[in-house]
Amino acid sequence: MNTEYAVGNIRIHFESRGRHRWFVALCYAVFAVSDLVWCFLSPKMNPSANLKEATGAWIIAGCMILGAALVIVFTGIAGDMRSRGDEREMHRREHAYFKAYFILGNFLVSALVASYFRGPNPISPLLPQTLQEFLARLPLMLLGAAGILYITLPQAMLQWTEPDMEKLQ
Amino acid sequence: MNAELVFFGKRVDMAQRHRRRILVIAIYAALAVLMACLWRFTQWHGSGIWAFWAVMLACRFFLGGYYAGGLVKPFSNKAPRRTEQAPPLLMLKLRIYRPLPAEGEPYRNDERELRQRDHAHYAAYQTLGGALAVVWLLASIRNDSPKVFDWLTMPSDELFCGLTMIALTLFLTLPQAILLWSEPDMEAD
Repeated sequence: MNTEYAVGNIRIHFESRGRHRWFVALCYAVFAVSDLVWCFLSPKMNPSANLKEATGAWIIAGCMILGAALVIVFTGIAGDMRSRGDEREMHRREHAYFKAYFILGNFLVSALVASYFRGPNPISPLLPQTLQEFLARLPLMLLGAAGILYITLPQAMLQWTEPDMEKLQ
Repeated sequence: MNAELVFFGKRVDMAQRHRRRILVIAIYAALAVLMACLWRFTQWHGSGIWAFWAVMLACRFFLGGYYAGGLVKPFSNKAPRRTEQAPPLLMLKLRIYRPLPAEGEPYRNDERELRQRDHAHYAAYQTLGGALAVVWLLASIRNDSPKVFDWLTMPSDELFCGLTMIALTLFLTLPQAILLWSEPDMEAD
């Protein structure tokens, strides 16, 4: 785990647990907004989107660029998850994967349950049109969220649980 | 990990690695056959739940891990929930009940087993990610350009359902299978 992230001459310090947690919370807020924006403003995902196509495309592109930048910083702070560190680091890393595995699987189960509403079923016709369209998009939304979690969740768990570190001299 | 499997009252020695590997292959082969049959006869319309129950039973009787019973000790490292009430007659007849916990019953993983559990999940996580990527790719293509699947004999919804079921099966069984596959020969209890 790195204690700082350097962008050119700017160094962002991440020694304290509080900063790690704020950063994790910020990242997941941006990822959640990006996922929702992609599902509701993309004309392929939502043909009935009211925004002009160019506006929606700009918003989606902005969210994607911001999300990608945060993923780069995120993985930069967490370090290479495949590298063989010391005994403690490897144990913490593998335990983070153990915890993340179950959460990722739950998203998969949710996607499978949500896909039920895409096909012919007795419940969807009773719901309003907007909700029907939302349920039709829900499996892909959940899979998109699962993809983001797959990349980031073990690192997020490590950052969330890492205690305060000493500042580099 | 337990060196012995109790199945319908019969004790099967699973201390040797090759026996455990045969068990893993047999479980996955049986699940594959079941899924193929379900698709052949029902196209998974309302029958996917049977595959899910088959996976649950495989975990309950053979694999363990996420469920009490089976070869792998509970991943949660907690004692299975038990009641003071006698088990139902059917379970007694089939000899699949579990007796009340004895003092010092070995359900807890020791330090080495915890490390193995975490490492098995680390390995399984990569595979699950691959399966998720395939499912997500399929769902995206289906959403963006459904005509891509016109050459397939099955509707894309069925393909999506089948791949998600396979991913779900891997999610529920893969860490246990990795543990059973990689554990060396044990001394019989």
